[in-house]
Amino acid sequence: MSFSIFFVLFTQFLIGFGVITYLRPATNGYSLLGLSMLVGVGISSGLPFALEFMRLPIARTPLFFGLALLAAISLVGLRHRRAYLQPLFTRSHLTIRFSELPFLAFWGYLLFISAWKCAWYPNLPFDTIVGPDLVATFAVKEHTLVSSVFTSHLPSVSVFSNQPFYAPFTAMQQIVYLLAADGVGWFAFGKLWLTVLVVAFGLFFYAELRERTHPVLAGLLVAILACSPELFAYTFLVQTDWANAAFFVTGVMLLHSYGQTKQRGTFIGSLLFLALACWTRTETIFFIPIGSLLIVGQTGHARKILAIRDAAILLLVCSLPVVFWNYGFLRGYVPLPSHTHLGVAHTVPDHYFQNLLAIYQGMAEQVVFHDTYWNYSVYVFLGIAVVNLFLFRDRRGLPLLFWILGLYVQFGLLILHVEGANIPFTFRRGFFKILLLMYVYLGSSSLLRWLSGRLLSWEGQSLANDSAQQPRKTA
Amino acid sequence: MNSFACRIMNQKNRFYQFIQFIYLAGSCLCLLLWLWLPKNRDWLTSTVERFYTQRQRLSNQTSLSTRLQEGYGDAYTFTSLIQQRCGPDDYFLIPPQQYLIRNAWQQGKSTGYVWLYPSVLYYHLGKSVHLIDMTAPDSLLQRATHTFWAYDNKLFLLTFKPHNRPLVISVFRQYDPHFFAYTPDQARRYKRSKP
Repeated sequence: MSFSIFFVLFTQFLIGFGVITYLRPATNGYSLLGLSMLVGVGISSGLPFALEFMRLPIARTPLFFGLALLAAISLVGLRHRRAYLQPLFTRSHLTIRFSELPFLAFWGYLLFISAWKCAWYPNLPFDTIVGPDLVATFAVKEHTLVSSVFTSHLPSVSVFSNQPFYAPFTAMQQIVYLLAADGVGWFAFGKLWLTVLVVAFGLFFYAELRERTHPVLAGLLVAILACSPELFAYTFLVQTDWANAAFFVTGVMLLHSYGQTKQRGTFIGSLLFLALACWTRTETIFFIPIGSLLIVGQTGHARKILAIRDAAILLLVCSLPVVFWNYGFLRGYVPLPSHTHLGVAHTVPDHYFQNLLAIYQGMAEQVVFHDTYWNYSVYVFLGIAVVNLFLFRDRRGLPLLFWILGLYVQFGLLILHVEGANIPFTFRRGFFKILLLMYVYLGSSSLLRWLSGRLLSWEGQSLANDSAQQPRKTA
Repeated sequence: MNSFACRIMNQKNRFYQFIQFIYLAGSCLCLLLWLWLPKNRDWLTSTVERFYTQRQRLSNQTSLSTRLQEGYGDAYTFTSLIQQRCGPDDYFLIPPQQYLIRNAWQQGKSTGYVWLYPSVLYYHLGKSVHLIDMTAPDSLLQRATHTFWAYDNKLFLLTFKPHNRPLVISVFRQYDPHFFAYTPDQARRYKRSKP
């Protein structure tokens, strides 16, 4: 790994570390490390825009200087955060048990395969090479975001769809890592950020599950999830969806925590991650009202006004990246070709509900219960969720189920009304969000909490029995 | 600490490790059982086999051109050909995809000529040549210097000459310039449809 790539990774981590230690949403060291990298990757994707607006070239020196500056700013006042950091890195939080090793080895092996493929191959998906990577490659070649892709190529061709106008996160990360790799070596294609993002999210996700359930059960849940071929494939194929799912699910998890702890930093953290999800895929903004509804619905009458304010803040903050990219940058800053159609919505004059039901049915048949996309992971979720709901009458996980159901409903409406949105591509990859949320739900379900309790009490009892018997034996 | 307390601690520690060992065995068993299920087994076996085949074949080849050739296949072959033969002042006329699907299917059936999509060509070629398609005005079409021509079910890079230009353009005009099959499957369906 070259020094410049190491520098980018390190500064991105520091940027996130400063922000996360300021907001304090993490409850253990591994979560903090994962969240820091995710935030750092997310925030640094705004840097090429800053360079563009300051009339600086999109080149290594200004970018690296910007990264170092951002890292330095985010670390201001770190000295005062020691009291927060110390308990997160205690031995009890960090110790890995023997029983976790098989799962860690399995994921490590899968990640090695994924990282090798991601690094060796160039960008292959059609959507990427005519979209984010096209924009990034020419921004790096021509040192500007308003490259010949927008100024001469697109206006001169008759056939093009909306991939070059995809939300900017993926293109911006490609720019950062293409500049760092400088066209040589293993990471010449600038895709390393995807592996970094997958590892960071995986670390956070596992650390959170491990906090809520017994580590063996958390390990098993993530192993079940890891055996989802479609989810695995997109850990090495650069697209917008994996990053979107990672940011979105992190945001939802933090919002869920906020519902329980009412810690303000956690709420701001969730705002940040949900806004980053909208920065990664524009249609995410249509899912945000689910969160706003939950904030209002979960709050008692006494605090209703505050809840409505929080719900409005959530909507407002998440719409900022969407408005900036779609109206500020694309329609305001970049000269778009006259025949561009961005986000065209259409109405359905006849048989509205019949069409909508047909779409929901198609979503279930073609994606949710597809033979090989997710192997058994959806069935495991359904099985445990049924037991959890009907046997344990668990109400704690209802907000997460509301998210899952809300996403499904909203996807159907999007497919019906937005031109270009479809089941085989849009929903197939959009389902990553739903699948990951399914396992967040399972991790906090009463069934798994009950099982965790049984395992922990068995460990405790065994130790207690053993030490209680010991004096008798020795006597 | 007296020796009795030490012994208790050691025993307790050993028992804790024994429990951890049971958990380790349980974890291994659960993981193996999970991976043994038919769908998981098939997926993992094929993923691992494919990975080792690729790694054995490719890990020593780290040059960019090899990686691009392996990744892009036909697209890389044909765009390299264009780069070798054309200069920045030349105009490459993108033939209608339908024309190539109809006349050189053998060569393009694996990709469906998806790499002919203008932005894919621009991704590979950049400013090394001007790209124009059949929707361009006549004045621009007359400036075209190169295109792909199908002959005997194969694809050739054709240099325009005054005598062949009208023939080529009139043949290309028989096909819809706005049609695009985005996947090999869509291209196959078009191939099977009646001309």
